[in-house]
Amino acid sequence: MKESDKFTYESEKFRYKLEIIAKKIWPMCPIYKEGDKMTIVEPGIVIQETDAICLSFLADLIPYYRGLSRGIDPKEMGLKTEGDLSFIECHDPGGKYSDYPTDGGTVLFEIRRTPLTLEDVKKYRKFDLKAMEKVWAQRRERYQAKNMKSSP
Amino acid sequence: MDKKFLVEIEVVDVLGPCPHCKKGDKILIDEPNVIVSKTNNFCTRAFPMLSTFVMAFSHGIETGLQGVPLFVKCPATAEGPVIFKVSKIPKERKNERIR
Repeated sequence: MKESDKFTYESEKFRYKLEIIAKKIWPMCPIYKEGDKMTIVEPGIVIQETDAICLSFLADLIPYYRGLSRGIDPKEMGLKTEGDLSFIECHDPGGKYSDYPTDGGTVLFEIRRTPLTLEDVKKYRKFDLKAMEKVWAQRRERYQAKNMKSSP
Repeated sequence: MDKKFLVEIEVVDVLGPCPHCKKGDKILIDEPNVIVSKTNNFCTRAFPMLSTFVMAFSHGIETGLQGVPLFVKCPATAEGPVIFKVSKIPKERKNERIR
């Protein structure tokens, strides 16, 4: 098994659940109200634990969600932190920065990360790790046979 | 519908320390191509959000507050934020505008 596969599915703290919570709104948002939550278990949104989804905010989050889910320090991604929490703002400057008016508002989101074990991930997603490992091995062997022939 | 507009994304303000962008940085797009020779900076953290406006603007459909350019900001909270202006440029005017 490749090291990254091993860590993803077996390490206790390698993968995180993300809870993205609307913390503050300047002055209004058509999608979120304060306290609304979106839950992500990479790469999916957990609909049952999500109050609202703004596609525009998803685009804001896209560069960050995988790094956040895999344990990268939010400070290294330009995000403000307070203890275990980190913060991200939506792309609309209209509510908070009056020199740049828009037809919308600005939302500050708090990001909470919870370490997931393999058993935790199984609560959110049905999969057979043994079967997946078999498929991964076949793919790896096929690729390596085609592209990584050892020189004599 | 033909795409008759180039899309220009310009950094118009940097409201806090940002190690990536400075005022005046530009990205010019002939959707779906970035015109590299007319682009002097490209932030991968801001671009996924900016890209959501490119398709509409390239077809001449502007979004945002009427009578005001479209302003958007990067999502960072410890850096910047950087304010971007998104605008469309008629293709027949591109030579005079992008020099």
